[in-house]
Amino acid sequence: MNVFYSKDLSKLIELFEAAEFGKIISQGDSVALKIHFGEPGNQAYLKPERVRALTRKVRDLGGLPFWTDANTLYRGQRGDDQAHLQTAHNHGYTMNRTGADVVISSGIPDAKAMIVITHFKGHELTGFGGALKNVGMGCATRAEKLDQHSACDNCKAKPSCKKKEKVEACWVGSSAVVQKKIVAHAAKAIRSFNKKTAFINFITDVSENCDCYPHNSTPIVPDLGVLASSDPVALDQACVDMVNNADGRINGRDKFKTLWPEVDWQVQLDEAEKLGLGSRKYELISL
Amino acid sequence: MIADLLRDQQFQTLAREYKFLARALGETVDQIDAVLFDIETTGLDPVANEITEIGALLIKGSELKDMFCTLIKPQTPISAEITRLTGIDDELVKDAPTISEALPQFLNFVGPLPLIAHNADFDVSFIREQVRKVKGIELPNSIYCTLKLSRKILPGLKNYKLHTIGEHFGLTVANRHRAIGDAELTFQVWQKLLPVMMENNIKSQRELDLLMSQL
Repeated sequence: MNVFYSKDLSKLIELFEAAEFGKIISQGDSVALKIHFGEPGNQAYLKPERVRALTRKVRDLGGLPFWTDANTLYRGQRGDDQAHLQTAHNHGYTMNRTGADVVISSGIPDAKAMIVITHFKGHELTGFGGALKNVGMGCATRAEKLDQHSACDNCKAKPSCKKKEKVEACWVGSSAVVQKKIVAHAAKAIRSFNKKTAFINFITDVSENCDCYPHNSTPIVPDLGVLASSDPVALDQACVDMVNNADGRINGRDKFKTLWPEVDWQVQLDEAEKLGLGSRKYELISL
Repeated sequence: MIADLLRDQQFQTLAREYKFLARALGETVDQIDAVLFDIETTGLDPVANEITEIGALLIKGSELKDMFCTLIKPQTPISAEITRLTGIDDELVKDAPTISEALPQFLNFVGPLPLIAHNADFDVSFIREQVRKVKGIELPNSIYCTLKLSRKILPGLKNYKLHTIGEHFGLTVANRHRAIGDAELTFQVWQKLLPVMMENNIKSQRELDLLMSQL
């Protein structure tokens, strides 16, 4: 599967066109732009200036774009609709700055097509967080997120585990189980759009952890660019390879394994491939 | 979906007849509460240079409601060239508040309202930088730029400097190149632009927001 790449972050629309994302948008389609609006205090989220060109492109194609994400499980500033909308607004996701409204989705966005825009980074539970995680967990309801986090091998091994009784994420669960659940939900979400999905990953400010913490960590590699593909598996694999092949503050052939030795990040890609979401083999086409 | 509904022609027709529906589209542009403002600075770089004056007018539609004006004492001396351009020198600002004192007052005056300025990219870049430094957040307010707007809806002017657009509308204002004077002229231009916006089918605040996002 083709993965298109530009080191120049401003070439978002050139990537969009190279990847032929226009094909997924028909006249009058509502188009969900799935994004993470960033937790207050964390500056690694994708700034509106970096992605807002998409709304004009979608409108030019006859689509009706809106930014969206679903509420988080943990009690941050995106855990309910009101706080989430305020956070998106405070981070510049307004009609005035981006040309599209923000709609907080209840799980999978209600739209005809979906463009998934992801800040690619490390993740303490899944090794890395890319397009699959952005859809798999990002398009889940709070109840589905709780299920993804809590029904883990750890709970079976320890019947006394109290964490599952709380409406909070359990961070000690088996990574493999969590990853498989995330990918299963990603498959459900992606299939609901009948192939009208597209995926864009930014390799910028690549942190060790996800963007849900209210602070930043020093990036593990310099900003590498932006990638786009119709195949989320190929896209995530390409991003992992690009980060692992780059010089950075974490050495080793597998930076994510070095950071999170107990996590096998390959599980999410293998599982996604098994479920028919795409291929780990890809051809990288640089613009 | 609400987003679809808002763009529906029939809904928009109904919204003009029924005010409660119109709220969903935002105010009409001639009823917008907003703050027009202008700043004077020690140079062109929002990171390296500093704000020396803020002049701002609180408006509702074409009505002036309140005014805010302050000189600001920069941390570095004001150059002779800047004094020649603005009339602001070190002596004038020696008792003025610093930016960290003046900015919260200005932000309090603005609240959540949209900001209107001529060549807003320049003025807003300084405010945005200071909001980041002083408050550690992004400036969330909507921005309406009368320069970009004029280029779009007043095609054919020889240039789009504030005084050129003012002359086009037959306007004159004293005290130019001081913040409050430029804010006043921007306000007069804004009033003249309102009917032109309506003629160009930019009738609701949403339509103006969408247009500004694309300019």
